[in-house]
Amino acid sequence: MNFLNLGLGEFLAMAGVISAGLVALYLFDRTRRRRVVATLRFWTPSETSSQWKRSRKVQQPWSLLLQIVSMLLLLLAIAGPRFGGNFSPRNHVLILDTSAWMGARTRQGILLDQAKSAALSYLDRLPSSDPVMLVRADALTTPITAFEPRHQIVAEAIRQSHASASALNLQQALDFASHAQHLQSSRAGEIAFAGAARISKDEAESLAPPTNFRLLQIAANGENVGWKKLGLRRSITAPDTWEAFAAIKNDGSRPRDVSVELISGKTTLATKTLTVAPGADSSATFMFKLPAAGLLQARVRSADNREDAFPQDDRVALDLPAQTTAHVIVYSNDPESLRPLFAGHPQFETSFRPTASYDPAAQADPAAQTSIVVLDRFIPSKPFPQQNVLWIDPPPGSPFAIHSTQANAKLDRWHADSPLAAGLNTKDLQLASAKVFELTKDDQAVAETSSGPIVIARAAPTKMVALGFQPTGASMKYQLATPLLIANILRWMAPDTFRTWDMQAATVGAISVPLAKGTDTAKLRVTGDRNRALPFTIQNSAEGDTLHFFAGAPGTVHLLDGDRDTIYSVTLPDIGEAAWKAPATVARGLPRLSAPITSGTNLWPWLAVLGGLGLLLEWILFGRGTQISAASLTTAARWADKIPWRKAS
Amino acid sequence: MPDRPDRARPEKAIIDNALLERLERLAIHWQKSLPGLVGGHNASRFTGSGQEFLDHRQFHHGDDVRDVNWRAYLRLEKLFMKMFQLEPRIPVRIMIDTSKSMMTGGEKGPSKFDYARKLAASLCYVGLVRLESICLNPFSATLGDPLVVSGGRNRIQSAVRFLTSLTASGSTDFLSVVRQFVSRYPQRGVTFVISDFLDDADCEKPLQYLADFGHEIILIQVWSDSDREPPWDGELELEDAETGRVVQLPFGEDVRGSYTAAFDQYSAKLRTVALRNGGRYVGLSTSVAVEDAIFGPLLRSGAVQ
Repeated sequence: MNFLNLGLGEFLAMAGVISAGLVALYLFDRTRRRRVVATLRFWTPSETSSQWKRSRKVQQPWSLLLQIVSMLLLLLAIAGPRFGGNFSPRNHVLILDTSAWMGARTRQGILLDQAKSAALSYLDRLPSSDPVMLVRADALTTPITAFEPRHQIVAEAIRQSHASASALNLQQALDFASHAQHLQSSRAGEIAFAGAARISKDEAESLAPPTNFRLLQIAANGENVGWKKLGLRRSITAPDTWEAFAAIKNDGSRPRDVSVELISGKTTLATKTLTVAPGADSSATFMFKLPAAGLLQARVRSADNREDAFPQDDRVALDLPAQTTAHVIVYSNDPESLRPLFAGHPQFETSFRPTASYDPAAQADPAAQTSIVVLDRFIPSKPFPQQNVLWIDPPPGSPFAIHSTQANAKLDRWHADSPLAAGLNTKDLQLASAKVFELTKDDQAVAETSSGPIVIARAAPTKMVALGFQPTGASMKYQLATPLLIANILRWMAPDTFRTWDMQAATVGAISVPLAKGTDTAKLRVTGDRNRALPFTIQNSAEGDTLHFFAGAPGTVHLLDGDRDTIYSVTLPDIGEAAWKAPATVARGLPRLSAPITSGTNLWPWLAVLGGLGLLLEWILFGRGTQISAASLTTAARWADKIPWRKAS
Repeated sequence: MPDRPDRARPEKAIIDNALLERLERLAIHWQKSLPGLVGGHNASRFTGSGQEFLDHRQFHHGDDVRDVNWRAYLRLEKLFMKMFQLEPRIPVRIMIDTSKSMMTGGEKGPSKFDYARKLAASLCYVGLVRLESICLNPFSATLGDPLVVSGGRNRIQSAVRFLTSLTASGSTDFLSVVRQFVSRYPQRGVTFVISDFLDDADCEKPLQYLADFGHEIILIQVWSDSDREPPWDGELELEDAETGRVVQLPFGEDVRGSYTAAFDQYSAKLRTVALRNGGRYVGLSTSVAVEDAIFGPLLRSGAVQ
């Protein structure tokens, strides 16, 4: 006899709990109860008091016994016992390898198709009543079905499986399968794996399959050369030039000659031929010009005309961003003094104009291309410019209220909390003359003397900075703080111009990024598609901090660290480094065809009926049914009296 | 138009306007001929300045000559006095049991105490509508402070407030209560006693004592279903609500019937006391709505008509 729904341990545990609960309820029901009554004059003890006193604990043992037996019979019916036959179902877990490598082509076809075929054959060999759980395994372990006795559902799920873009994590899948079998009460069957079992070297060394493991391994000896890594960054010296670092891997067994090409549109930007040793990597660097934004395609082509088994990793696409250029117009009658400060940055296009050529209509247009307007000791006619404005030594009439003009002003303090004063430090700097401004609630002081602020910034409605002195004056001309202050102002007003990009082609799955020393981890942000934040962790170690995040599907991930934006184009499929060599003790291939199943006799309906009858009997004999049955007997007798019975004689 | 009590919104917890409207058509009725001032609605054997001729009698010195039947004198040359039937106004007194036993047995439905208060308020309103003078007397071990209301239906509010303010406490001592009652109220009248009459001492003797003093007693026994037929089985620890005495005993189906029979026998004794003295007895279960009780058993008993 065996149980279909409950294990013996579960049945005994539940039976114990139910029995204990019944006894507790029974004793609670029979405990003496306190009642407050109006008078005691009518109360007389029951004639059965002596009997109750003798068995004070369990006053009606047969009632209790009948209840317990009936409940156990019902529980037994729920357990689903079968008697006779060779019906003994086992729970099997079928793990289907859907990692990226399963999309590889061999002479026999695509690996995943072979794995599906093996899995379906395995399913056919199992007894028809054995429940099977299908699990798709790549970087994640995903159960597709529960333990399903209808094998056609499992077969349909196998047929609908596709290769993913991530590598196989076999240990995780095996742990999941063992845990799932452990949670079931029925006997555990096999854990079968159908796939190429291409995993990382570390995992291959430590992988410990369970004793009930069966391997349906698909041979995968295809030759493959593909991208391992591609990194790009803009050249520091020339904004329209990119530097690229490429790494090519050879997963095959022979050395390969490959041609590496970088293409934008129909233009080949760079090309190089490499020889990659089997099981090794080969790298190369490129430098090419791409002034506009665009899609960069990086290809690996076989130079020796050999077929590549896994073409998915032969091509990488990176979306290169455009370099932002800021336009600066300086209205000054002394442009030569300001030219070194504003014309030194390659990403700023600066034009110098005399103050007389100021056109208020053009500058009042918010859609004008100008990013920053510099007004050197000059008040333009209204309306004032709608762009970001740097006011140098503004005369009265500017948006900034001047409190006083201080001669021989000593610059006492830079406000370090302001981004405009970042890195600025001067000592005993005395200005021949400086205007002291009055701060409003929108203003932020950047530098001040003893009389008040002489450099202030205003963030709304447009960004404005007022310098109360001439930065190219005699006292400031040779100070290092002067170009730094102007650079800080330009960075604050046009932050996109200072943004730097690094492009990386990465594989789907877990990605680790080593962080530079001094990185403020609190400011780090990792965003995925549609600017959605991705969870990440930072691992601290003696070698330095490492940021980890997981990208389960192809896409683009941004790692933002201040002005630095590292873009990960997660488009490369992740492939395990080696095919797992299973121990010799592991069962391989398809199992023997199972014997036909005879289901035996199903006992649960009889047990359910018996349990119900037991409860009904208890209710009639000991419960309120006694009153009803007595009343019904009385009523029946009364009706019988009314019937004009005739004597038989 | 007089101010009706439903507009004055008496306490909703005790009595509602729908019941009050139905009660308007009722009147308290008594059987005994009781002396009293003119203005009642029940006939009395006592003669007085009524409208309906009752009898003749011989003239005696001191009689009012206005009542001499001069026609008879001219024919017979004898002085006869005309006597008229009196319809006196007599005091109606309602005694309400406020002992702790009235709070027992209220698991399903209202407690006996709430039921008695609602019944008393209803009877009070019936009396007020007929311009009776109603005296509400709470009692437990002693007779409590009374409230006398008269002057029509508008005074029901004060009666309801008085009844609402009552609390159930203490034990019942009918003998002491009746002694205080007869000494406090020498004028005979109709006396409603609303109680469960469930005290350890025998209350038949005090009730007889009350009737002997000429009061017309109308006993309204209120019980809960668990008072008459306890639904419990097994080992019970019973506590007397008034005395606090505790008794442990087994109880079951075999003695439930005898318990109910004893209770009914006790109620029958109360009925006998009431009927023997020209009064009435009504037994009411709290499972019966007050409205149904008034227009059912109470009306049939003749206490109200």
